[in-house]
Amino acid sequence: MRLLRAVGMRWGGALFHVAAAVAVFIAWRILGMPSPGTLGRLIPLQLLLTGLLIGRRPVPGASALLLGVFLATSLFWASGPAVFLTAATVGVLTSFPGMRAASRGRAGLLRAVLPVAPLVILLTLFTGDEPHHATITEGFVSPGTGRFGNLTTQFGDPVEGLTHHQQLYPLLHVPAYPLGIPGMRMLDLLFAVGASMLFARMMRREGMAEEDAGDAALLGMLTIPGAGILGLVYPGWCAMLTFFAGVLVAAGSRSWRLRLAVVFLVSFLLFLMKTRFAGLSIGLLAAFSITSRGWRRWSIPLAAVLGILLLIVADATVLGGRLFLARYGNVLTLRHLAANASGRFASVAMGALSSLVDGESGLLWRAPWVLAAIAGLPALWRTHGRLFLWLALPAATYLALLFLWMPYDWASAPTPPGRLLLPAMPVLLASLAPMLRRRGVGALVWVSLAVSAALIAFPSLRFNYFDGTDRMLGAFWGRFTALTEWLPSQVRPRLVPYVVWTAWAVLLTSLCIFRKGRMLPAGLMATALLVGLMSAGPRRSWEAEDIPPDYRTLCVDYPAELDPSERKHWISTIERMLLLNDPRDAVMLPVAATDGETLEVDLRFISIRDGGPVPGLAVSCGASPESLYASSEHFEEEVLQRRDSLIPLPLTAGYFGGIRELLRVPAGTPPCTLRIVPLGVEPPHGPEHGIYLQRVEVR
Amino acid sequence: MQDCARELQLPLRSEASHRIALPAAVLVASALLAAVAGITAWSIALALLLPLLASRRGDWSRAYAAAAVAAALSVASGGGAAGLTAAMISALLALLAEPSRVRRLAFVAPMAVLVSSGSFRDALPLAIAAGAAGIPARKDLRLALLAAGACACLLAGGLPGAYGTDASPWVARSVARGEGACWPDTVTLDHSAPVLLLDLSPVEGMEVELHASGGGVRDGDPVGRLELPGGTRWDIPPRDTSFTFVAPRGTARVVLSRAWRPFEHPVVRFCSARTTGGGR
Repeated sequence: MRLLRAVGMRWGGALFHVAAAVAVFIAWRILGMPSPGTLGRLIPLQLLLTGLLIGRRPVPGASALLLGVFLATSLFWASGPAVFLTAATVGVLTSFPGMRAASRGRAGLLRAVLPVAPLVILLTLFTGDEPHHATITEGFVSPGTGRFGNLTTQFGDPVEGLTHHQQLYPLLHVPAYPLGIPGMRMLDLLFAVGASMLFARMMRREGMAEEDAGDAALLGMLTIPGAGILGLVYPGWCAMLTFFAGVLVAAGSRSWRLRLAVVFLVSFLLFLMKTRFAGLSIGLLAAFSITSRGWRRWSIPLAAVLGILLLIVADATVLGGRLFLARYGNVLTLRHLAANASGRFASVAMGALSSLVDGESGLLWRAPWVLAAIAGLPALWRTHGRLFLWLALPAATYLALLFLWMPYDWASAPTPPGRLLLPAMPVLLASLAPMLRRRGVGALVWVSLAVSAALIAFPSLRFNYFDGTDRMLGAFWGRFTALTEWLPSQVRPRLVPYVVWTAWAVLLTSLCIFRKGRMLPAGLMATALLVGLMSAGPRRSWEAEDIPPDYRTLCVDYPAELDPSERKHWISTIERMLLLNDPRDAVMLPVAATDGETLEVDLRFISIRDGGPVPGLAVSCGASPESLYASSEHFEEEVLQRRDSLIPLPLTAGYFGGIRELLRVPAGTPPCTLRIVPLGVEPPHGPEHGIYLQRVEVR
Repeated sequence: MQDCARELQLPLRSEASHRIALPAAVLVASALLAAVAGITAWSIALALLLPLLASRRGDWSRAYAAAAVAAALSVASGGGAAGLTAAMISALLALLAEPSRVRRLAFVAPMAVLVSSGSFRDALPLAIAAGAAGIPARKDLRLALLAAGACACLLAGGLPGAYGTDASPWVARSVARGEGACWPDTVTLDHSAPVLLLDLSPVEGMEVELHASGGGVRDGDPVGRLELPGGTRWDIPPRDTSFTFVAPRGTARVVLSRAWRPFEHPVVRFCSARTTGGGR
């Protein structure tokens, strides 16, 4: 008995996780849950690996509870897809406290993330930029093999045969190439672990508590945005590894010349890894300059400018522009940057705000820990000024460059959410570390971890298409939810959601500081209530592309391709629409109306006449229909050519002006259905002919 | 006991001002929910559950904190099946964690509302077990009773499930294709979403080719069924299958027909359907 107790005390954590793995495996099968061959094996494997790696540590307190919640939720999984999603998410989350326990000690961060490696590597679709990076790697090893799909061109490439990706990052994957996709992803996981270890070391060196530094570094990997690309073939973590290596040396006590050389080398490597990381390089050089004294302070910017000029000359003369000029150094790119900096400040500011509150890619919904981190920034500045400088300045210059360059495309959809924001995270993680002890902040972190767990278990939820709807939200709240209407969206911006959620984010951030966070739990409960009220209320407005098949007959989602690259250069709007161009097409929305009542129906659409009569709409609600005919104005050729002479003049909906019409429709006998059908769309007509419905509001 | 409350940083002890303010705020919240969502089983259950959770005096244990989180999730859900399930789990966790017998029995009330209103199918044994579990003081005994209730659910009726506001069956997206139409999206049906509807009215009289497959079972018996308006039915076996038929007016249903059985994970995959030009 004594022996058993001794084993339990010493190996309790390990035994618990092994037992939990068995329990989850058996429960999954007894309850007949979906995906028994993937999730039903990989989640137990995650628990098993946690058990093997946790070592001689006791059972983490929250693990047993999470296991219980998993079993309880699993019992009800047949209630709906959202409940199954929740159960699997809790299953992944069950290992997290054990992984945190395993992160203590030497190489702890490597031990901590290994349990999720099989899930990430095996479940996530090899998509986005991943195959393109892999194809470039293949070009170094065995050109033309076609192992990764012979991908030759991609949106954003300057010309065919010249990719817009830099070569250094794919070159680093050459050793992993023989091991295929798992090998390349494993290498990226090691980049992340390496970066986090250096980050933790840096925080410790600057005087942060050992436990705080370890927790912050681990959270960097297990929460969005770091978790979104953890173990995926994207250069974010590799760049962070390079950056932290540079900062560690630059902020250290070595000779000034050596540190200067390292800073220049790291800055150059970051640029070679991805052009946008030049923002980090600028910040790194600026921080080094500020921390230097005397003539050294002004000589660094001068040397940097000279170095950049030398680089551009060398690129133009020796490399034929392949490094920079052919990709981004052309006149149009410079004009684009200049126009964004001077004339499109509102768009740039909108992009920056959206990175926090946007429903699809903003951090507020996926990583609410950021709110506590923002609240902790002043304290970090006061208590760890040097750390703040070395992390905040590069983050600021990186973000400034990112939003100036890509005010609409900062999310780089459809790739994992917030992946382009990763370089700005270290300063926030460092400011979060001391905040973790505050009341309520733990809840924000747990919500962030739960979101990451959901994205690990269901990787398809990572990929949003910049169409205004979040896949995770749709999966949990269902296809009829009114919540979509209340979330800010950069692709179809409306003032009220932006104001409401920005104000709410400011409120929650303030609550993290106010009375040391004692009121934050109340703020979080109020947030749940606010979300509940928004989603439970009756729906009276619909973005047309969000109308589920339940409420429409035929109709076409336009454009058919989900990839936003097709829409990003549209002029009148960049949102998707619902095309009604067949006489059988119809939209049927349930409305609450009494007999004889007059409904005001606010319609927004684009109407294109392409070979047929002028298209129109008929709207009815159980009584006689109201109809209208209209044709949108095509943007003039001259206007386009003034804006950018290289853009051709497509006759597609994004280049036609929008129409807004208010119809008064009498309601018939309840229950009423608002029926919207197209007019003037009988064949024959051209392919663009029809009504492109954008939004329907019923008052 | 207090570790998780510290981890989640939830209130460790009720302060004097909170004794009135918190339950009052929660009551207002419940009233708001009921006003917006209507008087439903979900809003009534939450109106019972939230004040009970908020009026807890003394330290919050880990399970109690988790019950509060589950209740918050239920509130945020807006009344879908996930929200009903979260309310049920919140009540179960609070029942486990609550030291006072009276309050434990009070936590059975929201469960009773959910089950008696018909919002949950096949969950009666669990509700009865929860009622019994409210009595004993020993936590492990309460846990054993609840586990027995869960097993009884499985033995008696199969998997318990909730009916939320999002309970309607899936509807396949249709796209016009010349004079015909196609249903291009793949939809996987399982016990959490066992029915798919296809509106055939726009292609009435045309020949339709439908591809589906079954799987996740250990025998060759049918997994699902294709039901056409007018009563025609075909079984979907556990392999790839195609069906060709002339579309009648109305809505076709693709249904997962297998009942729950342990160690089986039946799924029906609707691959696609399209008109082929025949018919009329």
